[in-house]
Amino acid sequence: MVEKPTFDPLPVGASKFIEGLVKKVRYRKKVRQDVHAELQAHFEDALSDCASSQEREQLAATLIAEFGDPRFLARLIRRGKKRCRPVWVKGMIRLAQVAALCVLYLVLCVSRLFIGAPTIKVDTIAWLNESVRQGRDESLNARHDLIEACSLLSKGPSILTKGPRLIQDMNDVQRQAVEAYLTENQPALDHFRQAATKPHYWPYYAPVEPMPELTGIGTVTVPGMMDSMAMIAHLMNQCMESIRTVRQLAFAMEYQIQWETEQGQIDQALADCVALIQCGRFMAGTGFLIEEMVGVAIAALGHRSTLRVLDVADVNETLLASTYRKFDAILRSDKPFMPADFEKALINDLVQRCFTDDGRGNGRVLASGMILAASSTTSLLKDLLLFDFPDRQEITQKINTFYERVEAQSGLSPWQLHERPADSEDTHDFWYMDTVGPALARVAELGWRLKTDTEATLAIIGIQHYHATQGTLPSTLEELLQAGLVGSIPRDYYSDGPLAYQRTDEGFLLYSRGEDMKDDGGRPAVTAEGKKHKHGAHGDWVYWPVTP
Amino acid sequence: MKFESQLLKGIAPTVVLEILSRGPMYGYELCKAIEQRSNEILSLGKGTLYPLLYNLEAKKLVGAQWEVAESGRKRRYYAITSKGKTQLDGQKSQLKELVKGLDFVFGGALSSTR
Repeated sequence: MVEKPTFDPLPVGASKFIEGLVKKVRYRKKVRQDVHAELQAHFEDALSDCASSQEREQLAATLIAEFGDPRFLARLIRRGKKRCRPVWVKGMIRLAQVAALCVLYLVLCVSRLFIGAPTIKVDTIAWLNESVRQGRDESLNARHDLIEACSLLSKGPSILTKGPRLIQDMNDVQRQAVEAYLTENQPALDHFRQAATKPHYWPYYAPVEPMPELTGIGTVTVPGMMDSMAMIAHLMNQCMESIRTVRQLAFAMEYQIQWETEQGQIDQALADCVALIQCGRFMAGTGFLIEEMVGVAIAALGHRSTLRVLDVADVNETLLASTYRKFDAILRSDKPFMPADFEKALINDLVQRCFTDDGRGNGRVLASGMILAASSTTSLLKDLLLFDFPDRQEITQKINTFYERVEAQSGLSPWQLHERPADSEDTHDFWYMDTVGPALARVAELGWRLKTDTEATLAIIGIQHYHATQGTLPSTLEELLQAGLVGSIPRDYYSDGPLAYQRTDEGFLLYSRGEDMKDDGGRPAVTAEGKKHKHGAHGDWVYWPVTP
Repeated sequence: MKFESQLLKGIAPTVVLEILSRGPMYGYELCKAIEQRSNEILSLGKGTLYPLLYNLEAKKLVGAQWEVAESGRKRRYYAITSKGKTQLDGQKSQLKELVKGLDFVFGGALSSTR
């Protein structure tokens, strides 16, 4: 075994100098160890010839002086050693430095999104409830009767969902099942009828429980987009629950109308048609888009039922006149479609939860509102990197502008919209419009379709009334007006004139030009896929003669 | 003799390379060799020597490796590389021209003192 050589220890001053110097090098441990060993060897070599320890110490002091300022020397050594690094290490270090700078910049960009908190000033659910109630007494609200009707309604037999929609197409077993179902649900249907007699309808939305963010209105809380989404989900759950039952109720009423028609109770059948339309109209004029769409569908069901009654029954002129008055009253009391106040309230709720509030109507976007503030996903990154998110006022302005345009357009019929010159403002840079815009457009489309249905129903009642009194059909719709049987010439909102009417060998033909706004001479509409559909995109919407 | 540091700074790498061109050396040995070869005229400060060696190593003009001497001491030996040799040749030529030029400037006073 080789014996490890021993050397005289360095004088204390020299050891301390080397250690101090190496410490000041402040570089990798391995490098520092190398420098230490090298300097130690230097001192040992230099002092190896000294005879006494005194001489060693004197020479060591001289050497230390020759080395000079240890701080300066350490810096030079560090610089030299750093230059010794391989190119790939240097490259990696540069890369890491650039990455660190990028991260730092990103942290700076992102950090401001986490500084501050929103201020919840508006209890949106309470605002929604109050805006629809408008201080009116609850006894005027049809909603309570509808709730009662829904609670009394029993689940229909499977025949109702799987069997034919029309009683006239059912076999005896199915008819008996329908009769039993209707008999059982008369109390529910009575409440439905009762609801239709009420002057108003407004929904009620239960508050989110628990809702700590609303307990301190006006104080700083920490909600965000998720809270707003949770609130929207809560509201939608309530809507969906009530919508489901109301739809079942409407279908039950449709069977009831068919049954009454078969039984010859035409006056009751028509009264129930009016009730169906009225309840549909109630829902179509108030609430969220989904409620409006269901309301439109229920009212459309009422119109289809009315036309079926008028098709199969011989209705006397008194009943026709009173039915016309009821329909006309509903039409006149129509609120404009697309009351998008609720959707606007929801987006404003999102804004108040995702932006800070400087007390002057402005504020800065918070992390939870990044998606809301960005005009698109690509601009999200750009906005983030350029510190350039729109502020609260800009977003609010965009929302207001959007809804002002929606409101302006809601008053224009499909024909007017089609005819108006292209609007340069139709282009936008706000993702929200892409999301909500099509939904609003769809509800508007359904609304105008329902209005056209109503005009057609009024025209058909007028025509039948004319026939009952004159013994012949009118040659034009103007004759109905001249005879005082209609309040105005029934309009076709898909053209710039009245509904198309002509006498035929079998009776008469009444239709709207429909979505394509072209007069196809009464060719029944088909969908884009070519399937027959009353409100198909191509062809005319034929109201009379009635087709199954 | 004490030289102006700026004057020495420019030629110190050349001196070190020249000494190392005759064989590998460790720091202390190099220091002594410079003094001996220059007849005690040139003396590289210790504070300058090691940073200079590390810089030459970074430029790959010299290579370094640890070795254990016969005495048992562990030392870091520096040796000139082929790149260092090329550089040394170039610098030597330049120095010759410089001395020649300076000699002219000083009217032959430099060569007469040799």
